[in-house]
Amino acid sequence: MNDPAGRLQIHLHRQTGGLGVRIQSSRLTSASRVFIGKDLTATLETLPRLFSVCATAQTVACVSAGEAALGIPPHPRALATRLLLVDLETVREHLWRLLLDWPRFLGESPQGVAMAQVMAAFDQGRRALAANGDPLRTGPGRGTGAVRPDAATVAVATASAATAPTAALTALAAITRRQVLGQPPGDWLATTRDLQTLRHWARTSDTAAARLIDLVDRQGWAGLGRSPVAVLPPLTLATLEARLSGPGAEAFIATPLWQGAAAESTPFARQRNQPLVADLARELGNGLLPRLAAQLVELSSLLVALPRRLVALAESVPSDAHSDDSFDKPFGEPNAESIDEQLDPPAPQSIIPSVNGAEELLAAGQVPAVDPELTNPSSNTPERLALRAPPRPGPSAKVVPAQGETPQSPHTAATLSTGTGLAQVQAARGLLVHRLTLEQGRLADYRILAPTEWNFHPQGAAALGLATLPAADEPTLRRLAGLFITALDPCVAYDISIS
Amino acid sequence: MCLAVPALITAIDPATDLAQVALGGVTKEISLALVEGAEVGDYVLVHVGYALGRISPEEAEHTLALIAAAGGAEVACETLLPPLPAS
Repeated sequence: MNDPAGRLQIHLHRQTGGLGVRIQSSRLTSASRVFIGKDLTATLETLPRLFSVCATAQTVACVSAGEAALGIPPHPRALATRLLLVDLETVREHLWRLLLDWPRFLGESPQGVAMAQVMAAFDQGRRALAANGDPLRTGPGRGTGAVRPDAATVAVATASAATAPTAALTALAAITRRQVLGQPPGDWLATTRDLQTLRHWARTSDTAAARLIDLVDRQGWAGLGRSPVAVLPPLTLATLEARLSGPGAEAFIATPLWQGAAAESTPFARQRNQPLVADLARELGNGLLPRLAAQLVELSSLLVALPRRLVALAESVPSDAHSDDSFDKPFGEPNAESIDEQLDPPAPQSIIPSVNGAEELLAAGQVPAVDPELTNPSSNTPERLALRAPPRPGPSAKVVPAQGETPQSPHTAATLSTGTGLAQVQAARGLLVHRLTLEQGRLADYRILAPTEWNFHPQGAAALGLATLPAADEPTLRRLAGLFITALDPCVAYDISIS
Repeated sequence: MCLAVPALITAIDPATDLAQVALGGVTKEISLALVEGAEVGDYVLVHVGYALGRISPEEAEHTLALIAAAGGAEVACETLLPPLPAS
């Protein structure tokens, strides 16, 4: 049937020497064009209705790109609130996999009641964080086109953030403890640090997640789907701009490649240096068990980190919001070195990520460069949200970094003159990039690069991983393929056909 | 992109919490486990076989128009057609 949301058609065909894999996507990768001609406020109001699955990440990327295009720095608290919301959404999405999808591979019923509680808690937390001033929407105007909440609204929002969001996080942690880990997330992280302790947990805990990990381990499926597909390295804004602005941009967005090869942007990519995931990857590379473990690790890490970030956010509210001079503080003058770094960023290093267990892949020259400082973004921090630096007032075409931003990208006068902004956010399934151009207050161009296009590229981690599956009988092959696809977590429905 | 699509509930089986919805011009079975109080005639947002929440007919119409404009014109318009009678 036709599915307006788009689907992935994944065809496995037995052939001499193994499986052939064909992945076709009917996803609307150019859906963002619907916003062209609208102003930013209307876009921000409408966009969550269209991209309602990861609406928070999409909206944060949009508002951030819009602010960059306008040269408006986000208020630090608004930025912190947004990124907290994105990570809260990641918690919800990971719990969807664990509560609804994982049980199916055990022949168990999806845990719909628990997932409904998760969604209610997420909504509660989101509403509370957005109370009296949604940090994802246009704030009270401070000049034409301002897209940041003003200090007062952020102050109220973050003050109210001290109670209801805490309750929401407590509820999410309780559901995770009860339905997923059998113990508090922090305890699980502290005690589950290698294959042996993961195996012990899986064999002694009475949850579907533990049973699935145990099944994968006992059945010898732990390394299934291992492939030489590389992890997508941190991309400079210049790199993204080059790919997203040229004549090949549409093709890049539909089937992106990095340095001529497919790459993955997933929770495994983010967590591969975490102790448990790194230990598993040493033996199993990017196979099934490290991928499943990465989802558990990321969920647990966020549930440990988010309450602290919430407290920090609440404590950052000044007694008199209007006296917070940082809100109106212009960007400081960068030193010449930082400008130079932006204009001439270092080439990606060739890496030897000895901790990610892919030495043999490296030996084959199949893992691209990674900046060691950026290899494990377990959650969004302001540094992770790489905004296009806004223009400095005055005739100079040079730009300065936003507060808390690591200079990453050169910017050209041409880019500035067209009012283009670029933003990247670590969403639940991987890197989400928005690039938009404003002309006379309206969107003249809008492009979105989503992680599923990397991960389900026709020659990507899903395709190459599926090609390594054993040519088992059809029910078994279908089950293994579904499990591996779930571990890679596409954001749309998929169909598997086998011939 | 990650779209959830509005669909009209045409029948509900209370025993299983499953519903028939009109989606993409055909009738499809989805789970109502994640929403409370959904009734026949309601619009719900559907994602990978689950209703995510109820929306008003106006929101449904607006969202379907967005999807149509975004490139899913044919299928979205099919969704707007009257639902097939429940079998």
